[in-house]
Amino acid sequence: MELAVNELDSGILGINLSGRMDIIGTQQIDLKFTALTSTRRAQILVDLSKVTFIASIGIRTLINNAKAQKLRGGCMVLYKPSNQVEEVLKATGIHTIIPIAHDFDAARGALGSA
Amino acid sequence: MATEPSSQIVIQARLEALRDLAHWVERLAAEFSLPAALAHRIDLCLTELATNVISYGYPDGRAGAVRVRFWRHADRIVVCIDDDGMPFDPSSYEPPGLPSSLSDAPGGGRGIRLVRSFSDELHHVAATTGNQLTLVFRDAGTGSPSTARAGVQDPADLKPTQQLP
Repeated sequence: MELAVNELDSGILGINLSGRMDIIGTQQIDLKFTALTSTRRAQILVDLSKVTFIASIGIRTLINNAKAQKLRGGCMVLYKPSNQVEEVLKATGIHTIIPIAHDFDAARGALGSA
Repeated sequence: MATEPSSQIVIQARLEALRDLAHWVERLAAEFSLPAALAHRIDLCLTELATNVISYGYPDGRAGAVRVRFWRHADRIVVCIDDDGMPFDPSSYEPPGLPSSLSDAPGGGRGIRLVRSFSDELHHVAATTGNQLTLVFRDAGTGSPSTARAGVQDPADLKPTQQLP
C-alpha cells in the first residue's frame, strides 16, 4: 500500500491511500498513518478511492486513527470508497461512527459538523 | 467432497503468502468467469480466515501449510480451507456487536462477522492435525449474497477427506 498527503481547501488534511488494505498492506502504511492522526489536531479526509480491497485489519486501522484524531479534538471522514470497500465498511457498521462522503462538499460538511 | 476440486492451492502458513491466495482468486475469477462481486466475496472470506489461521494457528512458530480447494457448481461455489494449526472453530465464535460510538468501537473482532456476512455458509470440522473450514457461496451466477442463509450442508460432505500434502 501507499500513503500520500496533501493539503486541501479549508485547511483539510488529505490522506490518500492506495492499494490492497489487508494485513500486509496495512503494515506498510500504519506507522505513517498513525503519525499523521495522533500528533496534532486536524480535519482529516481519508481518500479511499484507490483502495482496491479492505479486510478487517484495515478497518481496525481506520478506527484506531479516527479515535486518535478524536482524542486530539479533530475528526476524520472516509472519502469515495469503491462499492466493494463501502459494502465491507457498512457490514461492520463503521459508517455509523466514521462518516463516509462521496463528494467534497459532503466531506467538508461532515468534518465541519463533527 | 465427493468430487475432485476445480482448483486448489497450497500456501505456507506465513502472512506473505496471503497475496498468493489473492492472486489465485483472481485467476479463478478469470478462469471460471466469476462475477466481480462474487470473486470479492471469496477473496474477502479467504483473506479473513487465512489471516486468522496464519496469525494464531501456529503459536509455537513451527512451519505450517494451508490448502485451499475450490469447487464450481452451477448454483454455488464451495471452498474448503485445510490447515494443520491449532484447533479453532470460527463458526462458533460470537463476534462483538456493531459499535454504537467511535469511542466504544473495539479495535478488532470483525473478521468473522465479515465472513458470515459475505458467505452463505461457514462450517468447521476438527481434523486429526488441524481444521477444515468449508465456505459456501450461493447465487454463484449473480455474485450477490443470499438473503437467507441456507441450511446445514450434508455432514458427509464435511468430513476431513485427507491430510495436507
